[in-house]
Amino acid sequence: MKRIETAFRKEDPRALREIAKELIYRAAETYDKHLATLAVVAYAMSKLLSKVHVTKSANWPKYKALLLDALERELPPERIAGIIASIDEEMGNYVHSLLDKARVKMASDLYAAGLSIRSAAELTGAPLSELIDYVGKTTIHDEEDYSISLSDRVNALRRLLG
Amino acid sequence: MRIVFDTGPLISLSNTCLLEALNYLPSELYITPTVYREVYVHPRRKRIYAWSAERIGELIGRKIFVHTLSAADLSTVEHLDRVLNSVFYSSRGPIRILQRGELEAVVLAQRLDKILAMDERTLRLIIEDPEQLRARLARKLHGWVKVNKERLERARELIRDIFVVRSVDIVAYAYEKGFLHDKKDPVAALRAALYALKYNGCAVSEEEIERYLRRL
Repeated sequence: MKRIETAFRKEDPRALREIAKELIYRAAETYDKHLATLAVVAYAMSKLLSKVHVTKSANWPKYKALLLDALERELPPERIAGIIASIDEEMGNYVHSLLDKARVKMASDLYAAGLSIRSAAELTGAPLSELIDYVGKTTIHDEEDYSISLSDRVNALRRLLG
Repeated sequence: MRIVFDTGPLISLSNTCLLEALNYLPSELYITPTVYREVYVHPRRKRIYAWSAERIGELIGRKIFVHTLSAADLSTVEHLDRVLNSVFYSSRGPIRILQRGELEAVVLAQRLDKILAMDERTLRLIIEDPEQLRARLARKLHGWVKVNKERLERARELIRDIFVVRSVDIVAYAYEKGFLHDKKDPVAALRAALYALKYNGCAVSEEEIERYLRRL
């Protein structure tokens, strides 16, 4: 939590993304949802910092103070996520919320690491449909050797079904 | 022949307007109640996914049937959960890689004709290439991931007869049965369809698709 606070105070999105990645892999090892939520929070904060219309808005000092206060007091990650959600609701421009995008990104990292898509979604709270959509647009599936090829599966289907 | 469908292939086929390929399968298609909720009940509540859900909904009761699991099946799911989620472990203990949703689909497939349509790759790799999965976990989770070989063998005993197909395999099979042959350029249409499925989440590589297309 301290590291997130320091990185956010310095407005360092890269550091926040690195912390998020570290946290999400640790969360996967023990299936720790609190840790996963903290990873989502760190990543969402990095995205918040990358939105110029947020950081240049008149409300930014207020938002930043709110989040720093939450981090200093070490509020549960779920509550900090709630604060980010409110900020996003006031300032956001998209159908998919900032938090959902952060959840999907963290879940995608877990799927890339080897967890099933449902496990990744469950651990992070990512909406399953959005996650399925998202992973298709990454290169995750091009990074591996196929066990049984498309041709072989089709041949097998032909043998089974006619 | 009865095919059990997991959530991924149905969502991918719906999102890419390729559900019609299912009509080329001379099979009854089954889903578990969990999958039913994931492909129809939940997405209907979100406007961005509602139309895709409605398209799938049209097939339920006509081509796709919801099959509840018996008490014995659910007990098998619990057992599979314990075994499969303790195959891989790190210094911090067993790594939970699968959820009930996947396991329910496996158990149902096991009970019917052992064909499971699933687009994501984790369960498929446990059946077909667990070492690849272990290596992937080790690469990302700080390098120390081991396989409990005894658990793995037990797990594979339970599910080794399952044949996994993906949405791309189904569309390719359907193509060989005439699907997309009404298009101006059927091969181009097939290529586009396979890539559409890939970009909508099906675990297939570009290399696999191109290799398959070269054989046509």
